Amino acid sequence: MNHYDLTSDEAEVFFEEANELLESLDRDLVGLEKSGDDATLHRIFRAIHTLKGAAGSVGHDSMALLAHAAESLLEKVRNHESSVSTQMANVLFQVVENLRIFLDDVLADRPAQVDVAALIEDVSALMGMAQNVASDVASDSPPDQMLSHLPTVDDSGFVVIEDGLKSGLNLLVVYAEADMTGIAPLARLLQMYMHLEQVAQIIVSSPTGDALEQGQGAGNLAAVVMTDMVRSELEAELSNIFEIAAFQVADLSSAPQLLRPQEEKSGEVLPVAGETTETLLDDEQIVERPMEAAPQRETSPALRTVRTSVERLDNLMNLAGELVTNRNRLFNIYEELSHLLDEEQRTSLNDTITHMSSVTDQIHDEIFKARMQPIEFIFNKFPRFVRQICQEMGKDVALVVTGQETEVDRSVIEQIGDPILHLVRNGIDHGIETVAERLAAGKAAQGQLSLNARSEEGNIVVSIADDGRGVDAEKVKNKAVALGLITQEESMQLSYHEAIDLIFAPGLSTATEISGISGRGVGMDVVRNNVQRLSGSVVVHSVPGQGTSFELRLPLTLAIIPTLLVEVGSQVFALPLPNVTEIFKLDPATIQYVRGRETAYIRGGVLPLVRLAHLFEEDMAALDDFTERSKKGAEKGAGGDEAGAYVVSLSYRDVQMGVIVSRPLGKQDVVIKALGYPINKVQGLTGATLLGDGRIGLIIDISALISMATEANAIQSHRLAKA
Amino acid sequence: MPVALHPTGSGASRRELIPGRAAQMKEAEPQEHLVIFTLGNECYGVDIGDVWEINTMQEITRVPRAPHFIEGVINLRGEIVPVMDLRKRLGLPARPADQKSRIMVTKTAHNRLGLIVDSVREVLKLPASLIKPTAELGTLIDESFVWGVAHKDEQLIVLIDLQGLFDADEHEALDTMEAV
Repeated sequence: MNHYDLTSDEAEVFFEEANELLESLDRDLVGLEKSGDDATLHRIFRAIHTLKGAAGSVGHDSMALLAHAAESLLEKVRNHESSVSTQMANVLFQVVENLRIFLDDVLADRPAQVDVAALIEDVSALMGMAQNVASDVASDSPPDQMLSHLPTVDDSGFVVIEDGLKSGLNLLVVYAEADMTGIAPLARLLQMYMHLEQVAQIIVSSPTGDALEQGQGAGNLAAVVMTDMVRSELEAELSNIFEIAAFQVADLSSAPQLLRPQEEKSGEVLPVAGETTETLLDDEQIVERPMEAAPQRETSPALRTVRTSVERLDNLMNLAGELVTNRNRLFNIYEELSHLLDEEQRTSLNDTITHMSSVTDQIHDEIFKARMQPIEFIFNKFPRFVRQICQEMGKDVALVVTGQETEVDRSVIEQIGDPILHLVRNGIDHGIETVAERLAAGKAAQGQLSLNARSEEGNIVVSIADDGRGVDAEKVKNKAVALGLITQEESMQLSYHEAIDLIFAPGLSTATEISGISGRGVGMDVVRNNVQRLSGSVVVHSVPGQGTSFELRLPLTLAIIPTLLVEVGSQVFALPLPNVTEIFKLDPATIQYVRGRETAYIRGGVLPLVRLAHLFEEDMAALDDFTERSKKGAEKGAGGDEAGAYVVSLSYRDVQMGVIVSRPLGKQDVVIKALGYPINKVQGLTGATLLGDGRIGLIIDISALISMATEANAIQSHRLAKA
Repeated sequence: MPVALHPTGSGASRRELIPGRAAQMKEAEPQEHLVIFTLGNECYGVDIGDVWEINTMQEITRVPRAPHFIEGVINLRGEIVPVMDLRKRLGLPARPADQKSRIMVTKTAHNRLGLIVDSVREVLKLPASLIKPTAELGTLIDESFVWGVAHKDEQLIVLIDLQGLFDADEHEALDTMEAV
């Protein structure tokens, strides 16, 4: 990182925080345009302000300037000097968009990519002052009368100022004159001083607090303070003090050099932090009170949370796994030792281990929960996105978001955004009609797009539904026939549902033009492929004339999954628990051979069986061997060596299949670890996991397993047919 | 016990070694820092920057459907590391592991990868002038991963470019994927 002042360990938290702010801005700006309540305005203001501070701290000047301009504009709105217009909302959206680009600059560590001078002028124009930023900064300069009383700050004071500015605080100058006709003018100034102490860090004041306390001073007070308040807030804060003849607050955040002693004010380079920190510590007069003691004004939930990296959580998860291993070992040791202990020692040891065991489980649970996040993180960007698409396409769509509190693991959050985005885009683009069409069809002029999330059986289900025209099955069929995906005859046979499912076929839905919003529109086939890759599914429902809905289903986590551990020979496999429907002892007598394939006859149904050990042998020789043995087994009528084996019945979508294993080991939540190059692409495996006893368990990808079984079966029956 | 070559955890890559090499140029002849291991009667050398640590044999979990030269995965102190039989990968006849067999853990662009070798002999600094291009001598293995040969104490050392070997595997894997 060269262009920006950001170390790599800070970077992650920085970007995450900035992204969250940008997302909350997107949502709040839409809200502001609609209702414009003060709470929303305040959040927007805070977010912009924090981003300004962040930009300043990493040294992205354009970003800081842009945020500053937006902040000033918002301050006008807040002071009711200006109201929110569509034009203003558009400009603010542009500001957010550019802030995002700037953030990418920092991420990519490259110089600023866009010039925002014009945009800043737009912002300024909205403020009713067609000035450029330079004069905007100048407008923040203190009035002359204040300048003459401006206290000067020495080097050590500047260190504090620089640090404060970096952490997003504002540098404000307060100048007050007491009403000398009042009862106790100097006491009022002292009162103001003390008030300032509570809400800000006083860098320097003239006269000093001590002097005021002793009744010294000429009836005025000038103080340089650092605070998280903006100018108007501090002004409001101080305006309650009586008998102050006049007071002013100026923001010098962008012009701290004005506080330099007169002779060196021009072109002075600020001292580098670190050079002067030692003197700072001795100089009690300047640092009047430590920052930590400053009362916290913000009571946002952010203060009750701590940020940490996902990597750290992963490590914690692994460590908790090791705790579980050792817990199990401890139980074993206890068993072995117990005969050597007397009753009291045994009880004491047993209690301790039991307690440790339950704590271990709790730690495990807590870490798992810590990795969960509400899907809100993704949903937040949609109000702005929908608004933008609607503007571009001239449509009027209301977005209804529900279930945003549904929690999913981090790993899913990272992957689910793009598919949802494409489906939302698709809904507005192809689903919802234009206003004229809607009115003609007797519908409300405004279309509705609903985005809902819920958790269901270890999955997160996201539905994206529009009340548009629905999918035209004939059109889809014709296109599929034209593309040669199906024949004319086949198309006649298709039900409505089967026909519209064709939109997921490659090439069918790629008509979307390249747009400025989400880049190239990708086809539905890509959406379905990407979702399936994550062991998820996407299905479409549609009613002509009434609307279309997509249902996206993904596991709650892609990092930790509940599994059933099974042993096959000496090898351990983990079967995803949601797919496991039943475990039963294999009764060799119930095995039937249907077209050479083993099946179990249970409760009046037929369950195809596969042997994990065989299925994974990919070469034909092994398959031949399998066939041979199957035949032999068929001749014998029962596989005697299988006594004691178990069948785990699995279901995936509509397919049921039984897997023959040596024995089940039990349920366990496992952390999925990548197999790593060069075996990360091995078919049929999702990854591996470390077991309590240090062994490695391979995690089975059920969908791949089933398709492998089907293939193997096809090849096998083909061979049998030939034989 | 594993022999940690980079106890600090920062395995020097080939690239990182270059400034060091440049510095050596001024004083003396450049040196290649190599880990020397054997496969059968042949002696091989790999850049020490590519080697993370050297372990004795341990239990290897087989991974079905993996390429034939992958023996499986090991649990390396909580990390799952694939293990490749270097004999099989280089097209040499397979042979069961014995007391002297070692798992040489290397760094690929993506993750760690263990290589099973017959034995690890030593860590050696070799003057660059002793290294000859491959054309001059034949060896049993695929020469596209051999970048040089050196004579030392009557012993021929074949220098292998591990990263090149890994890259080749990766391209092959990609090709198969595209074919599917």
